[in-house]
Amino acid sequence: MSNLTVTNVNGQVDLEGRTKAWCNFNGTGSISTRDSFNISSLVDITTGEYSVNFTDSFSAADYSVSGAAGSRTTASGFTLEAPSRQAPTTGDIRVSCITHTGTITDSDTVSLAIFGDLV
Amino acid sequence: MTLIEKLVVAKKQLKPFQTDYRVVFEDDMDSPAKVMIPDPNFMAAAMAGGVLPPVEVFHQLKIDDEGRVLNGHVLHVEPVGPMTEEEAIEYLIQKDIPAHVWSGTQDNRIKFMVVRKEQLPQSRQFRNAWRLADAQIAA
Repeated sequence: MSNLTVTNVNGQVDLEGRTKAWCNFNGTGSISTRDSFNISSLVDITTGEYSVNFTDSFSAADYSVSGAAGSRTTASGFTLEAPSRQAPTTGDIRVSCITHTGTITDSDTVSLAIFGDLV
Repeated sequence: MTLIEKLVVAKKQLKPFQTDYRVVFEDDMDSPAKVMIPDPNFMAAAMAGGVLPPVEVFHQLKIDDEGRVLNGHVLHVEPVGPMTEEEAIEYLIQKDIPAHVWSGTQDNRIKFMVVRKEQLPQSRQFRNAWRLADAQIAA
């Protein structure tokens, strides 16, 4: 039996135009998610490369992604590449953190917001 | 309610749960080992129950040549009940790790391992060289 109560929800939630998935995570050290919505897991692929898995699936892989990567201690000139070297799917997207010199590097703050239609 | 509506309610009502479990896996012999990090809000929803569909439905999604899901309704079935932390990790393995990693019965080497985060290398200096150690074969 579920412990989750839904008494504060009356009918359908209007989600049109809202962010359908987002996350903010630390991609350095022991990688961890700070906060998120509609994310089931992160995958640490290799240095500076991560995959973000969605809990609810998008209806198509042509959703829109906004994102940023940065450092809380230095001016890194990070660019977040999304998707990165792999086509996005309805269930996940691969991203990379790249410095201004073109080096793929771990970032301590990676933020993603994804807009699109869910199934 | 659809799955996303349940996730909205779960996000508002449940405290995120940071698990210490990580799943190390190798899905490509030419690439370093990958590490799956469970999401704290997902873990909270899984352990509360009443939110997530049976994991099998994710494998029933049909996707056309243009990347569109043809039968998304399968995700909005009756949700499963509360899971233990370990059951939630098993669910995630089946959902987010390629099936050939965890469903193979003909391989003679370990392709994934559930570990505590403390068991991972503390330094990422040699991150691109991480590999799963070969299993010891008992006599």
